[in-house]
Amino acid sequence: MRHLRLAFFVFVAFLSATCHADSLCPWINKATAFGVLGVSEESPMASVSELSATVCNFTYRDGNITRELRITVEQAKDPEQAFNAYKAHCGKDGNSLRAIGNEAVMCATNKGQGEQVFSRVRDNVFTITLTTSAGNDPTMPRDVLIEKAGLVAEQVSGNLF
Amino acid sequence: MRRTIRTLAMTGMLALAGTTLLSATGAQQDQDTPRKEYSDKISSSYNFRFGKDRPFIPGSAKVEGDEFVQPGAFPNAKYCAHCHQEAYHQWRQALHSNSFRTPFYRTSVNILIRTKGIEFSRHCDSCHNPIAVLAGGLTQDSHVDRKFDSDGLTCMTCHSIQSLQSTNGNGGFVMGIPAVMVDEKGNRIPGEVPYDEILKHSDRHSEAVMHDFLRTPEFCAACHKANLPDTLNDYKFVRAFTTYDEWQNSKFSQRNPLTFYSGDFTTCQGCHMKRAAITLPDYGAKNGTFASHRWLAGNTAVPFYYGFDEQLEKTIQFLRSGNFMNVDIFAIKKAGDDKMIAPLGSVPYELKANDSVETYVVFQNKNIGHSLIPEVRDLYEAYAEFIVKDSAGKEIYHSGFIKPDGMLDERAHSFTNRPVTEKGEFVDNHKVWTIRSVAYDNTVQAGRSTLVRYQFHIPANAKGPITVTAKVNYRHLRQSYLNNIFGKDHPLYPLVEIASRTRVLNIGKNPAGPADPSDNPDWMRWNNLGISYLDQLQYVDAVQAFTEVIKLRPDYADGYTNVGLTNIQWEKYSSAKGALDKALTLSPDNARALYYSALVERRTGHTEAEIADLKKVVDQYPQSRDARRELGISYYQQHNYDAAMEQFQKLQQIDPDDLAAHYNLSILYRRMGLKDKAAEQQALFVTKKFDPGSPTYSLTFLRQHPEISTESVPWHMHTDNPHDQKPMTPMAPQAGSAYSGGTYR
Repeated sequence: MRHLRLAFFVFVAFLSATCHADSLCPWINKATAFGVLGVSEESPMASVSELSATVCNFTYRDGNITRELRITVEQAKDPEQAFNAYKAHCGKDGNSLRAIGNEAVMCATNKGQGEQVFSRVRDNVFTITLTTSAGNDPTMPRDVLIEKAGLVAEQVSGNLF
Repeated sequence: MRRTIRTLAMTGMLALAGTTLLSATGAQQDQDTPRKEYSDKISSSYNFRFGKDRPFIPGSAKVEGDEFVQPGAFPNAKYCAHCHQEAYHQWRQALHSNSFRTPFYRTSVNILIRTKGIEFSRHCDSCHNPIAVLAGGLTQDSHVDRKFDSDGLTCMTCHSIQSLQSTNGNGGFVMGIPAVMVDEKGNRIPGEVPYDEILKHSDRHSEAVMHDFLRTPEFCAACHKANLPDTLNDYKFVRAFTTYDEWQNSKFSQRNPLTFYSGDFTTCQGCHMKRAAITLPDYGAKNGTFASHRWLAGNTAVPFYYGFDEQLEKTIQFLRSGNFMNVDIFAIKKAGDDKMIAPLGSVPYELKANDSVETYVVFQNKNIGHSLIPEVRDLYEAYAEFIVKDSAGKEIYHSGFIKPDGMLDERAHSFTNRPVTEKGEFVDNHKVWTIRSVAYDNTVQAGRSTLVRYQFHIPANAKGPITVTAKVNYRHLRQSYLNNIFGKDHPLYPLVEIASRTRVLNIGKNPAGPADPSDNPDWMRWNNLGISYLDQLQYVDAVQAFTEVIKLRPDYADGYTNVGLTNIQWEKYSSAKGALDKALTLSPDNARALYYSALVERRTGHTEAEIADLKKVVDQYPQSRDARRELGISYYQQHNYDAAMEQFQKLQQIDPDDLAAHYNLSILYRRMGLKDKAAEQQALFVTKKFDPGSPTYSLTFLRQHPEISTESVPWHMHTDNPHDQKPMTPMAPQAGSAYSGGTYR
């Protein structure tokens, strides 16, 4: 009986955490995020974690392939400095992105199996990291990664404006 | 045996008919089931705040079938681009494709979402992002993949509209299920179709995506007319903007007999979708030309932000090339001298150093089919710039300059308006649901002119000529709105000079000279001055200006009509009658003169003549809202209620928001015993009528903003000269005579 009670409380706590986390990414909805990862939000292979106003993490796992979309947003005291610090991650490989926020830069990550976008909307600085674990992911070749990272950046910056 | 064969044959025929029916409707049924499933799923978590039967309120968008539509039902623009490369290329850089995603829009709609709730943004997105609305995406905890946001008004939003509602705006369309082909029976086939099928049956592609109404201004009115309903603002109906009605009242519609000038019939599409040679392949091109999908207008901000250099360049060309505005440095007056030296260039005059000079600049909205600037002119920045320089190029006076922080000189003459809240605060950031009044509106309507006065002082040591320049400049958007969007660290957005005129004033003698080819003829220059005076309620000066027109063109009926209508506004009806009779002698059956003549006849009790005149106007201009309204009033006063009702119903078809129609129909329907209809019209009148408390909100704003309260006085003067410091004493009452028709005290 005690085990049952314990199991029940653990279940309720898990449910609460999941339900609470479900609604806590204000920058992109799950349907759009998982659409980027190539799956429906209702798929059992789709999962979310770390959902809050500052970090949103969406993951798709299917066998050996893991695709991940991670969004971070922070309000910076010195947004220009904060953006430049992020921009330094790209170094000379960074490409300026037009028409994303006030300013934005994109570069490859994860040994070419991902794209990162760093951007600023007024005093908010955000990052987008879109990765795939598969070297030749048929659904996420490099040009699609670039396109989708840009799409997510546009969604997030649009919601931040 | 025969019976068996007959039975088999019948069965076979029925089976064949059933199969045919299935193939024709099968595609539709294939769509119906997934759509219902989708709609049911969305409905389970949708916020039906405004009622289950009104899922898209506060917007007016409607969809066939009245259920949510999967966003994937709309083929995306890249699909269309396979055959329509020119259209795609133009559309991608134009406003319609960027209608949702731009920060200029997102900033204000996000405020609405954060302040009131995402369900209220259905009002805005009925036009800015209809797929989001019709897919049920505008709700808390939305389960709609928003990848279509990037495409805003995509090809298959406009090209799937099946019909238009009345010209209420706010998304006044009925969307069909998108289809790029019809079958052999004309039934729409939902979704994408292989390209070779389209090419084999291009007529059936055309039937699916093209409709006659796409080429009419009423189509544009579905979104380029907007109001703020009480479901959005918890207040009442507030007119937001109506480019469509402005066009309909302009010379280009040929539906309004009261315009000051006439013009060729030109639709919205006629200016904003001009045919041009294609640069990329497009199966929709005819003879190598294609109706522009750039919709060139005034928005330089979007192409600037997105780096669409081609669109930016073409927008600037468009603003400068259309001969849209005329700037006329019309007259000067020397301080202490009442004589107006006009029209400048056509009359000789002398100037001395140390003279104080008043300059009269007339800005004419010459060839725009709507106001300068239409729609949300509180965000747009069209303004007058006036510069006076000495012979060395040094500025003597400058109004309408841009300050180092990018803001416009507060004392510039700006063709803007100021919507305010109930606390008299400027509604910044486009928080339209808080608008309760408009403190002032300095627009120039289509075909009309405005007079702006500048005063400057010629330096005492001036020897050489003085150069005076007046310009109309345009910036999309005003600097403070851009600062709200981006913070203050953004580049200066493009400033475009739309029109300008420069005159050189010599110290000493200035002889008359030949007219500049870009100037209006003198009679028109006087006419525009008269129009400006009329709108500034300066009736004496208006009559004098129109009288100058008559002197130059004694055979010009409109000159007399203009004197007549000024006198009507001035309530000098007998003077008006004389002028209007003369106009009708020169041009019998002139609808414009007949209309104003009818108003005079009403005042003098000549009812038969009044009605006869208005009927003639309506016969010539069946879509004249003014004529319909006045004829309805005439019939009402004669207790001819059926005839009155007919006129107000027709008026309501022209403008569903016309207040006089609501008011009069509510009374007429009640008289006829049609209580439900009467109640409906009464409710519409109540929500749309002017709020008598609203001027107090405007006055509060104007008290707090002296730089704008000056602007709100129609006859204000722009000057750097200090005011006369003598104390004011009240004038003693004086007897005097009116210009005509009697005496006044």
